[in-house]
Amino acid sequence: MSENHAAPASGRPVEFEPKIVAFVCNWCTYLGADLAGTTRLEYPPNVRIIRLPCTGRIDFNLIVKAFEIGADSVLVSGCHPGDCHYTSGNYHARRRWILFRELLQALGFDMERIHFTWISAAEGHKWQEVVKEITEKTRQKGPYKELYQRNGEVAFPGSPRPSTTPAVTPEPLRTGASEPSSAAEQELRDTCRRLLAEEKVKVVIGYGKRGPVFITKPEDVEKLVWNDECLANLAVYLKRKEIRALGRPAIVVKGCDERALVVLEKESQLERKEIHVIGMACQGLGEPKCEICEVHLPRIADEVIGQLDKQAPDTAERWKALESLMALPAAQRMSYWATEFERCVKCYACRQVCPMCYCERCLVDKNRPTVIEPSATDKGNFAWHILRAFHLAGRCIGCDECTRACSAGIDLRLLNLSLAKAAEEHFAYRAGMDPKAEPLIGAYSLQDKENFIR
Amino acid sequence: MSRIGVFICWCGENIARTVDVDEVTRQVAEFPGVRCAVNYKYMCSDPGQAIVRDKIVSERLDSVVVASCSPHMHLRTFRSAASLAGLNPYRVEMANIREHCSWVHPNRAQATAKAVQLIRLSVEKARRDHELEPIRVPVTRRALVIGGGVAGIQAALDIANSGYEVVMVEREPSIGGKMAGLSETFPTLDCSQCILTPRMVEVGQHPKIKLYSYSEVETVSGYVGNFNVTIRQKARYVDIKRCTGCGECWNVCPLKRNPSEFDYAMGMRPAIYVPFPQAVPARPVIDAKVCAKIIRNGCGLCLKKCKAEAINFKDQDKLVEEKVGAVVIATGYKLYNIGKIQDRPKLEGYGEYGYGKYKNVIDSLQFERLLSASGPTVGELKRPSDGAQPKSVVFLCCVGSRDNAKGLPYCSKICCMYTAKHAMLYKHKVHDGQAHVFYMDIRAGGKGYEEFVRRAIEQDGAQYYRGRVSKITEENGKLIVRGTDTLAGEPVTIEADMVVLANAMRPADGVEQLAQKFNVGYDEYGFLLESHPKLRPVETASAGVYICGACQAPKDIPESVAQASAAASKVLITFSASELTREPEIAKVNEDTCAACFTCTHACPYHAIEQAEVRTPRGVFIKRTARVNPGLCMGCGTCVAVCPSKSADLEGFTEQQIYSMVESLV
Amino acid sequence: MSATISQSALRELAAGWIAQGKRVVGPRLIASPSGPVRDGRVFYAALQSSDQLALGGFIHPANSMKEFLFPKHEELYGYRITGKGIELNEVEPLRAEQVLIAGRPCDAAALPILDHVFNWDYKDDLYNTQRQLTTVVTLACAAHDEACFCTSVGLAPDAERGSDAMLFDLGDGEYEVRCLTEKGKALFDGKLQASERVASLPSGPEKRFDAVEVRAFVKDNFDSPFWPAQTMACLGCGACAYTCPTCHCFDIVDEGNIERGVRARNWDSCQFSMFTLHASGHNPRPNQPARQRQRIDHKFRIYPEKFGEILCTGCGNCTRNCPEGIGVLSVLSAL
Repeated sequence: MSENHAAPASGRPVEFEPKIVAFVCNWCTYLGADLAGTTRLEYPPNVRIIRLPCTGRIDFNLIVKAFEIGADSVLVSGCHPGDCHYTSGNYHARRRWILFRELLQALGFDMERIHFTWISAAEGHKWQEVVKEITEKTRQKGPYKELYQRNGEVAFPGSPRPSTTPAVTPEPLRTGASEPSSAAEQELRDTCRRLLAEEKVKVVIGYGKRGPVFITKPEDVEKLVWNDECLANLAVYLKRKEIRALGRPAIVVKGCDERALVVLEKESQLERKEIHVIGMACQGLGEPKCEICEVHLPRIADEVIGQLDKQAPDTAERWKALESLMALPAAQRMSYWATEFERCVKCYACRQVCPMCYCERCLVDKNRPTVIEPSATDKGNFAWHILRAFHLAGRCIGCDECTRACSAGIDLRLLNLSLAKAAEEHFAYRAGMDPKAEPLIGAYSLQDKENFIR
Repeated sequence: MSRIGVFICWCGENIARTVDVDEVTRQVAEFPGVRCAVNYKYMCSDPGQAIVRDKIVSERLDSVVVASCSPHMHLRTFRSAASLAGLNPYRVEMANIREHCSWVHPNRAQATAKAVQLIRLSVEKARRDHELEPIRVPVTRRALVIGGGVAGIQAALDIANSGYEVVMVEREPSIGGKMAGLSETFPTLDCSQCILTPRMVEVGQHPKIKLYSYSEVETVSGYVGNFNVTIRQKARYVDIKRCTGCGECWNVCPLKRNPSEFDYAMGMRPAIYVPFPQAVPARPVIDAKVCAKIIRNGCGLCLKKCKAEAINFKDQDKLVEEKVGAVVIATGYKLYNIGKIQDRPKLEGYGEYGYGKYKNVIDSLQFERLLSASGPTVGELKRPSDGAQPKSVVFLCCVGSRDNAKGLPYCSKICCMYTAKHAMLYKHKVHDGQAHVFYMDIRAGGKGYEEFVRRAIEQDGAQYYRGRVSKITEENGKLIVRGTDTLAGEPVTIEADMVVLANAMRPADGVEQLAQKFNVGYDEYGFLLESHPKLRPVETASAGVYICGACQAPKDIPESVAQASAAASKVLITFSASELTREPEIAKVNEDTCAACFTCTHACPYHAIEQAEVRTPRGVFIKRTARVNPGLCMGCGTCVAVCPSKSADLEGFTEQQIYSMVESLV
Repeated sequence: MSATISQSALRELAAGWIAQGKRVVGPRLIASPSGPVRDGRVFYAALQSSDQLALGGFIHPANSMKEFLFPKHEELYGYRITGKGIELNEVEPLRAEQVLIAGRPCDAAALPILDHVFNWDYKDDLYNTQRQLTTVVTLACAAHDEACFCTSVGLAPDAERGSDAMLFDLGDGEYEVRCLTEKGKALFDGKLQASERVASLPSGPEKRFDAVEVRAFVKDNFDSPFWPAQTMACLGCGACAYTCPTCHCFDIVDEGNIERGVRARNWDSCQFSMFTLHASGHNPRPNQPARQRQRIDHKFRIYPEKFGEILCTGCGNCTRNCPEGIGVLSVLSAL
């Protein structure tokens, strides 16, 4: 945009001219803008319209891309609810926008630079007003310099400052002997021995001393363990061809892992009756997710091993981890994430360990077009984490494996929590809890709230 | 490397006055891949189009960008021009530098700079356009008409008379709809049945119309040109092919006093009955809810009497499959229920009018039956309570209409006219009677309508009060109607023998479920949604499905008939091509990368995406995939946005194109 | 005769380097605000102030020092396409003197390996320029954990390979300093105290496997069920390769649009499923066991055959960072 930006005729210094990208639908807003033209309503020339058939076509990533290339504000506009030329495209868009805004807020984007409107083909005047307002407001705010910027260390209120002598012990390597067998561990081994011997299953996917194990012979069940190091979510192995090739699996799950099975079935990735689910009652393994866990007892397993006496925690506590982050001003939040993402090396451990990331060709590996740059730069890293978090909206079951796996120590669970909170507060939706629930994205309700849409 | 041609239009002065077209041409020529950039005064004119065609040939262009007005104006024009020159029409893009630029930005420098950028966007898009061919879909040249009222009848006859088969499905035992029950119609005071029944007979006897009466549409699948419809034929317990209509059965039926649906409970009918004498088909149906034989295996007199052996108590619902290529929905209306029990949370009844409490407070359709020469009172006006002739009748307009508080906010359009008609017909029957009409406004916009209303007032002496009625009570056999006359500025109380309420028109019951089966939208009142209220009033969001009559919005008979013919003409357009061609700017799924999560299937507004399998040529299963049905997809792109792997893409608005456009704005 | 420096003097020295505009890189604690999914972890990172340098309380940073010589993303050159053709322009890299301070000897021992790789068939000036400007000061290891195995690959907690100077914690706030090269001497010139104190260190981890046996094993057991048995749980991420000090594969990408862009190189991992994917769709390493086998093969047989050194320094990062506990040590200790 910079080359073609025209200087004013007089000798005044060049004023800041906002760059505004608008994604509009063909049938309503585009025609509304046409009407503004036919009516000769004047407005500032800073908007560049990208015409799409329907707001339903607008992927959130386009908004991110617009900012990446230097837009100072982004406008998304389409048909009023009920008027969509394609009946419901704008309802789908609206639902995505509600969720995406929450993610952008958690990341510290300047929400005053992102605008959503409904403008019909008859509303030429509204188009004029909206463009005038956005241009003026953006002009006053100035260029969007804070995007992906770090500005000093961001400390969370109350969090430990980086110190020089960390009182930290490394995680013990799990090659040695594990804790002595508990009753639950014994029962687990007996159950698996029986399942294999009776050929009810061909392979047991379970926890071993060092990590996940795949037991195919009854005598090998001694390799199975059940202790407070059984952190992994084994549901991720159900997407791997080499393991499915071994035959009908039994899978050991905790209550948190089990929710992944519900989502995977809903998304046609597995059929419940093709797997045998061994649920383990779990009192908690000392992780942050355990403090807010409500599924200490698996609910859809074929059998549950172990007992417990844990109560579910107060609902309000679930989002406590977000409080410090959301208490920061937006620019500080962005600085925090920019600092965190600077360490990201794009190892994709977060993706590989997640049961919900099962696409054979991940979008980051697609380069025509390059939607997400694979490089570990600010742009590439923000785009990747935004993409992954949003693709998990309504699907992330909170197993926190991504955070555990991250080799750069990035607190990815904060992003997942912000979207889980959005899903619950806006749509009363919790991933993996109700096998009969519709998906969150891909469905819509006429009641979806739109108080942010002009 | 691309060979793009850019053609910049002056549009006379419209663009050139504000945008420096020569400067634009100069800058655009520098864009990568642009082979030629020219400008001309009127690109859409014949010489302008000739320039485009010539350049396509001489410069061997592979895409064209026309920078001029909105694509909504001339995209088709330029696509045709390109086609004539041998360039695939879907490699033509337009940049809107008029409505979005020259007409709204007075500063020449700014408008010129913006025009260059807008053209840049279109150049990037055109660079990545694919060559597309229109999609060809076979057509079953049979139509389905749902609803046998006057609109459905008109549409069916128009289509059948053009030589195509029509399947008509009517829910009631007879076609005819509400019009069959009316007495005389405005503004001509034609006898309703006299003008309708010949049409009904024509439908019943038409060689090209297959009538399923007492039937409903059960399921629908498929798409324009290729619908598969399952119809449920409800059990009549009478074989209409054997039955001769002799009437012995209903004469002998001992259960004679069942409220007649056709007479809106103003009259009675037996358990085995023909709804009205002119019914088509003129064959009886047994009401299984009251028939003694069906309920407790008693009676059976009709079976004994029937010489044609047409009665079959073992009858059951039948499901029939029909294949059609187009559908017309003409399901008509019902009246707003005045009582307390409503079917929507925001509606309340008008209990203050005493409908259902006082026998002599009736609604407009009931009044029609009392007026009708073939009605339960044989054309004599007898009030329901005691059969006496009412000497004073009060008519209330806008009962349930135009009421934001507890009714429906819209105007039901026909009530002013039929209330005037009621007042006139009443006077014609009861010469010494007095009609009182309480109204809010008089809406008489049709041909001859205003004159009609004046006749009711000036010739037939109807007394009109501009005001509403607050309450109706009964004292000493008289209905006390308390209203107001706002023009005189005082309350009015009338002692009436009868009160007729003009209830709001609402869509028929069950229309929402029917609409969902066809993917047709409906508004909050249940009226079916047209594609565009002004320019496409009979088409819907679903290709091949059309609507007409009161199911779309309140309207009278002339309008219903006109719309029915309009819908029929749309059907005939669909049938006129040897193949249906559809715009190819639709979605497709890359089956190699599809993760088969089927979020797209769930999200598609047209149910156009199926769950499919990829197999080797020998049939070995490889993987599951989503697959778009090119006959159904309307090209909204919702599937693309929800696809996590972006295996779904939209021709004409591909990911490549949109991202390239955004990136060109750096 | 030896030389020592106090911790405070060392920090002052580091502060001085920072003030001079050098990039000073050392272990730093990054705390996780929402509490431990992982507890606060230590990373090699650029220090803005010397009090950020973490000198004790951990075994090995979660990453390696290689990213300060071989960045995870490095622009090679830029291009512009106009109507007149294609123009290339050199990308001016940031080149600053840098000091890698308090690194682990296993990380430093990897640097000579990288020197070989980036100079054997092509002299990589981007790497070489930065390498010349870098001085490496390591801190000998006073402790090890179960993931360490430097002794199994011919190294030790005080191995000197790759270090310009080495610090030894004397336990009371003092460090013995041994300058091993001219660069090391120049860095500490005049800043050290003469002393009689000499550090003694524990002996390091037990030898867990014999590298010569490993080399023979991988040569003869290409199809062995050993590989699936040990590595089936691998999920195919890049955590091991990216935190490994010796892994050096990179991918070259072009990022830009029709008018301009850059060509850059990014780290790549042989564990990614598309690493050996051919354009035809065939993949000679079609599953994780095949890819893990190749990793061990490359490190313990192929690279040694070519360059005479094992492509592994026993730092243990692969095992520590693997979400499923797989790594060189955990695979080879099963042999």
